[in-house]
Amino acid sequence: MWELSKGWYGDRMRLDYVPKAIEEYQQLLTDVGLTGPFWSLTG
Amino acid sequence: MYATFAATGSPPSVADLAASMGEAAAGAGLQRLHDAHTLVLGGDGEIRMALPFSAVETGHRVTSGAMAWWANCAWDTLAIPVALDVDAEIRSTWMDTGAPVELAVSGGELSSTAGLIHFAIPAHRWWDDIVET
Repeated sequence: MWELSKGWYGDRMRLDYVPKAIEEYQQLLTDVGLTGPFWSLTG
Repeated sequence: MYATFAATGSPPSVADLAASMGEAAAGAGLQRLHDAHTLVLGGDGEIRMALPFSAVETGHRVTSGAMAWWANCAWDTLAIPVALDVDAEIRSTWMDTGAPVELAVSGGELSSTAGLIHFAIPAHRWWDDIVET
């Protein structure tokens, strides 16, 4: 979760912060090994 | 909005945002962030969450020097030091034992990665009721 937090929230305080596309968030989950139906953001 | 949360531990009121940027712009901006799952507006229309920060007291506390913030959940206790890029102490409670969580972040590193965070709700349903999640 620590590594996931870096990708998910590392840019949150930037003045030019723009929410990521859902595909990008899904990739962040995949990158830390959170895969499968339970971790699907789209069901 | 995030700057106020970071500096004070609390979000600005909607009235404060409206005073600084105009009522229409504030309303539209808040709704856009709400739709993007970045913040959550409470039933009173005020900011309830601006992830990873909580506007209300929770069992999850992050401190850094003289500053402190409430986190929405265990994950957010990790996310707050990341978002702010600060050294921090994390205080929470392990659900299985009731023992206090005592973690620290220093120099961008977490003091221990032992332990588990339990997600009870599938990811695609997190936002069905994000407060419950």
